[in-house]
Amino acid sequence: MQNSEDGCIRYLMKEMDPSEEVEFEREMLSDEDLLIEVECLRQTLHKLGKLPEIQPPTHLTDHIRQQALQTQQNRLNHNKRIISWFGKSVAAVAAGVLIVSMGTYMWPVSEGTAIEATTAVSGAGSTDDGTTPWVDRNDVIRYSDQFQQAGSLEFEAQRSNSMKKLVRVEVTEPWSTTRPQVQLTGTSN
Amino acid sequence: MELIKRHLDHKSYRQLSDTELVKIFRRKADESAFNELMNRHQSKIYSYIYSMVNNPDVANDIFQETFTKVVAKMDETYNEQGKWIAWVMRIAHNATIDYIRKQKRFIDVSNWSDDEGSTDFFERMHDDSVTDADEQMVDKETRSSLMKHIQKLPEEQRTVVLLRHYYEMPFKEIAEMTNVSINTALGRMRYALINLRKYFEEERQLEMKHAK
Repeated sequence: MQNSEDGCIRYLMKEMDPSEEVEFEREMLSDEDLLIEVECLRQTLHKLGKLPEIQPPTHLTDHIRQQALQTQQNRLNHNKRIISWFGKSVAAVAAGVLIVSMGTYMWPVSEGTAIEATTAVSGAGSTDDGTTPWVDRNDVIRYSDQFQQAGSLEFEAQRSNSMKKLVRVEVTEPWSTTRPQVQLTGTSN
Repeated sequence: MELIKRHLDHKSYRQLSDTELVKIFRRKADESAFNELMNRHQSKIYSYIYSMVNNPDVANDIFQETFTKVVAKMDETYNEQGKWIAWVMRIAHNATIDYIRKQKRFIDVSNWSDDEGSTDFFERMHDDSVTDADEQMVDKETRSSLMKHIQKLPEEQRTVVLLRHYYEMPFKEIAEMTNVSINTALGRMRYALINLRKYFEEERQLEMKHAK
């Protein structure tokens, strides 16, 4: 029963497949009550066709159009501003990354120079390069001026070794007029 | 030249589908595109709302509210896959139902009057398709009577009848919009037609009684 009731509406509203329509029409021919119901519903549906279309007031539609254009225009302008701000932000970040990258690239060059200088400094204090302290004819001990840093360990080590080698000179001539003083020598003579 | 260009633009917009017009409006806030959309659908949308609420001022408010929401939500919820008019109708329908449920009133059809001083909306309408004066009068009365009977229907039956009439909406879509099964939607349509037939019959008998 439910099926035939819904079938009436579906048939009248043309929402049936062609095969369903044929089947339903066959059913109507064999069931007079069904046929009467379908015809009554069809007549009422026909009257519904007289329902008019009503136009909205002109002032209302004009206002709606104006409002719609304004809203959409504002939205588009807002989107443009966001895109512009975003673009500038991305450009700023990209520039920053580029500067940092360049700085990082250049930094290892400066470090290399410093390492080379340090190597040069440590190399200067090595006795293997012929910088052994020496004594001049006035018996004054001299060190090479190649030491860059007076406080370097190499320098201190050599100085202390040299100092250890110095001995007091004994004065044997009683007629020496020089005042007795301590004299040191690094030689073994 | 400007007039010709405008005429050509208008002609070309008529050939575009709703979806294409929506795309143009979204991208450029194109006035002509929106005008074409309005021209195509405004009377059906307004007719539906008016037929549901039976009050021109309320119909105006709901109509404006509908299009305010349409423009506000067009970028968010309309995905250009489905029909634009079905999407707009859903908004109009929800706004109308919200109003009706807020009111929760029984529409007093005794306000409908056949007096000369009547403010019946349909009596103010001029139907260009009917040229004969008598025929026009009969037509007006039929329309007025029909609207009166539509208003008597329960809200859910009225909804189905009007959605089907103004939008030729398939019952599957009507069922989805009203959150019921398709069988329920079909049943509501059937009972709406049965009730309308009953109202017409009662009116006819009343007229016959008065005629005696």
